[in-house]
Amino acid sequence: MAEPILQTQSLTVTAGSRTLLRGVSLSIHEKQVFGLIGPSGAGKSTLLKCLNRLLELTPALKVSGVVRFHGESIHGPTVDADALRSRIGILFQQPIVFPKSVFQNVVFGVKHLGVIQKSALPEVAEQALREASLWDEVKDRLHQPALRLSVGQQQRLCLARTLASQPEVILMDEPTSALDPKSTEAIEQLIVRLKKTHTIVLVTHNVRQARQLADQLACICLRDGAGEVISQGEPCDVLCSNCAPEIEAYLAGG
Amino acid sequence: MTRIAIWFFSGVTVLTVLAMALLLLMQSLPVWQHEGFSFATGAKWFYRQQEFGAASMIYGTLVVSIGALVLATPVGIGAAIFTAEFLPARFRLMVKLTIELLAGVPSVVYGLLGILMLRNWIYELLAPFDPLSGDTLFTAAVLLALMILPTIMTLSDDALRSVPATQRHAARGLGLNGTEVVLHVSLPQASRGLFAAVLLGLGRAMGETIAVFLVIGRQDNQWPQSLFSLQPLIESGQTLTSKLGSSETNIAYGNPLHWGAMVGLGVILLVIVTLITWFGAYLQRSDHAS
Ligand SMILES: Nc1ncnc2c1ncn2[C@@H]1O[C@H](COP(=O)(O)OP(=O)(O)O)[C@@H](O)[C@H]1O
Ligand SMILES: [Mg+2]
Repeated sequence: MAEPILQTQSLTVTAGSRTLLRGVSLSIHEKQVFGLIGPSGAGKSTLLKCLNRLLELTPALKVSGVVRFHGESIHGPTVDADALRSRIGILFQQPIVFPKSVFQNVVFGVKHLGVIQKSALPEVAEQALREASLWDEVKDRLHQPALRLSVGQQQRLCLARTLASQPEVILMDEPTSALDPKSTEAIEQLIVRLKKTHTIVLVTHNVRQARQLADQLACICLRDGAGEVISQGEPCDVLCSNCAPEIEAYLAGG
Repeated sequence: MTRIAIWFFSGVTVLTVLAMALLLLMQSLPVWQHEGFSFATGAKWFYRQQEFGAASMIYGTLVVSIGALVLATPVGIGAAIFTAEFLPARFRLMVKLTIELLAGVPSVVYGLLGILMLRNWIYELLAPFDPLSGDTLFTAAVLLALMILPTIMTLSDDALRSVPATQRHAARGLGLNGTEVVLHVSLPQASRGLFAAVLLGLGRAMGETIAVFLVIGRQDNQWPQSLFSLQPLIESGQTLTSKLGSSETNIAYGNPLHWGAMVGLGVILLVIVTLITWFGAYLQRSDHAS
């Protein structure tokens, strides 16, 4: 198999004396959907934020271990964390839109990368909105406040905003858990479409979603108070093999 | 029930303010009858000759408080950016407590410190321009800037902190660096609160009496040759409040015209402060609409 695009080796996150994540080793391959499941509080969001160094913004949390992006450590001395974050985009559980217009939201990130002419922004915005299947719904109100959109539309707007800077990887933290079934379906279809061009790491609570969308799956559960990867591989293997009591308990409960 | 209470108490407040304004206006009536509108525009004040013009004091008030604002706003907002955006939470609390302590220092103390230290220092600083003394409008502006700095800083800090952390996180997640997040997320989203902070600072500067009184030199009839000249900054002068705080107020009490003139200064101060507050509220509202 080809070299993984993202790889973690014995990644451990601590908050003071408490360990949140212990010894996480994962390999994420290009143009696949990598699913992460596990109970609440297991550290899925924490793990996701390690992958684009967003966790550094919370000074209380300490990360040790290695994360490689295209084979190179993302903690290397020459790595620009801000540039890294524009290549590894993130979508949060709740859509976080800026109190600006739809258009301003879409181009918010890409405008500051400084690689795109101002005159090209409308085109970039249109393309990103089309990719996020939102163009038809908002093309007549690009200059209205984004906060007037429905929550489902807002989440796709956040996706468009991330897509606009053309990231290679998109980290999605339970992107549909705040959404109604119709918007959920829209996002799921998008994920299927986007994996042709992007690598996606998808945290989900939804076993059906994991089974349907993920090419590879890892399950994180709490052991001795810290999140650990207790199995990973093909979704059906992870979900069907009752090798670990935690997964069984989790599947039965959720 | 709450509705009635709200109406009742706002009604009482509005009526009290109106009654006070009316009382001041009535008391100042003699000077308006005597001088007409030139009470506000005339620059000469010679009470023995029964000549009353408030313009040089209005000028003093505006120069001193706007000068204080120009000095204090960048420092105050800059410091607030530092405490709100970059300082770890535990230090932030410490700094904020200290700042709020400073905001509570009685203004006469600032005035004494002004006499003790600022006056001489400014006299030496301005030496190349050959000032007559260290009691200048500039001295008063610097002292006022120090006094309103804590207010501006702590209110700006509150305004910046009220921008949700998730907004900053989302922007960082898009690849903006810390500075860009301050410029494009925190400051724009806090702009209303920042504006209110500056406005409150301005209100405090305009109404401040004793500290200004002690360092401004209290020289009547200082009218600049040109409104945009900087020369008056290095000369003594008078503000509406320093005039009202002087013993002339007591002397005036027996004479309706002179007393009317002194109260008239209070009316003018009230009008300026009210206009600024309204202007601020208006700007805030139009900001909100967009
Ligand atoms: N800043 C922090 N300081 C201390 N503990 C934290 C912090 N952020 C998250 N945690 C803890 O880390 C654990 C994992 O959280 P999270 O990654 O959000 O779990 P999940 O996304 O799987 O529900 C939780 O127990 C949470 O309390
Ligand atoms: Mg989570």
